[in-house]
Amino acid sequence: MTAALLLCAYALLITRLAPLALRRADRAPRLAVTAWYAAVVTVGSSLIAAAALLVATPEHSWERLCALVRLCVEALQGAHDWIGVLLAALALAGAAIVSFRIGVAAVGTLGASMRGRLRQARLAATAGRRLPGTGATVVDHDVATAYLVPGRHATIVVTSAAVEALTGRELAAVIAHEQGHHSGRHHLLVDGMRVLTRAFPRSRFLAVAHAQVALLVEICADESAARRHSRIDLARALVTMAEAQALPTVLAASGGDALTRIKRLLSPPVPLGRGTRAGLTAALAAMASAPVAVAGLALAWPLLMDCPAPFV
Amino acid sequence: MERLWSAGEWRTVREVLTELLQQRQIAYTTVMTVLDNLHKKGWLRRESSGKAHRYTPVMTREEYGAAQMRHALDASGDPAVALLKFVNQMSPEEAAGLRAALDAHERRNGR
Repeated sequence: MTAALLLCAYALLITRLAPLALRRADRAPRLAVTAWYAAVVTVGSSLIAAAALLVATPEHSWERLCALVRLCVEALQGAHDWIGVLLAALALAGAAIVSFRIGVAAVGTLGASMRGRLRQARLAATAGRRLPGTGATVVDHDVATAYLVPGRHATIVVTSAAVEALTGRELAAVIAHEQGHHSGRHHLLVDGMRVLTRAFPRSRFLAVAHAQVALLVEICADESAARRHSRIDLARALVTMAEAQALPTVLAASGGDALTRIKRLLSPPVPLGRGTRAGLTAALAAMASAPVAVAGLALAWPLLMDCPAPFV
Repeated sequence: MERLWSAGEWRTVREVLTELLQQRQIAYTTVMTVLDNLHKKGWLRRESSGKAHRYTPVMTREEYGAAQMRHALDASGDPAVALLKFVNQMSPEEAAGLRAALDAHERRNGR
């Protein structure tokens, strides 16, 4: 029981601490994406392990917690099994509901994405023409924009207006950014978060994780473009395209992300050192494996000790 | 579709087939089905000439591209399609904020 409570507290702590700890995480964007996923996995496995412990050790926990009301418990000796059955039923129902929600969200989100992406890729293939010297497809349109249609039929689409509005170097930087998305398989990272936020729409923690991962993959793509192109070209392209697409009816939502990217492109932060990065990776691994370790220990403890500690 | 656009006039299935056969092996029925599907979807206009049907695009290549792009831009607000856009739509004020940040940087660097 105590271990289960500890795990719940741990999950709560991470949902509170992760957004604070990862606010200035853009010095290592790729590690930050890993950190967000590690945090989500940790919270999820903590809650699952806590539920499992409650169900797996009902007698032990019940008897120990109710040491003071042992008489009462003994009076209900026969009821232990009944409580165990009830807890097991609750846990099974909980597991079924959670898997059902994730399943429905996955089918809904990914199905719609795949259909949309397939249609986009097909349309780009029919209506677009190759941009010589690049892997991009140009489509005639008077709004300057560029995007990657991710997936098996991956296509980088640039509008004719974008080709006109940008200089050759800026355009090359934009295409490199989208190529960065493609080679990093960023759509999978974003898709994962989209499924989770859709499955648990009331979770503030998941909403923040989703928004942050979406921003961080843009930063990763910017970085991969900046390796071969100048940052100022990428920044200029970003501003030009933002202006071209701006609409008064759009709610202020994505502008903050774009401003973060611009500031980062213009004055890049010092990347984290190799040592710091390795240390953080180890800490993440420890954080993510803690719940399973605690649950394992709590289950194994009575077997390991003849006289188990009173609080396990 | 490409064939009909470059032709710029009404074409029968047979004519399209003859052109396609210069590039690759393709069956008459395949071409016929594709053209028929495109007609059903509203991309092609059709008229009867004798026994065969003749087709012409409803929209020009440019209009078609524009239509699909409008769709893409509309759909970008819908997270379900989830294209990885270079920059998402924002309000003019936000775009002006970006421009200001860029200008300030360029002034600082004496350009």
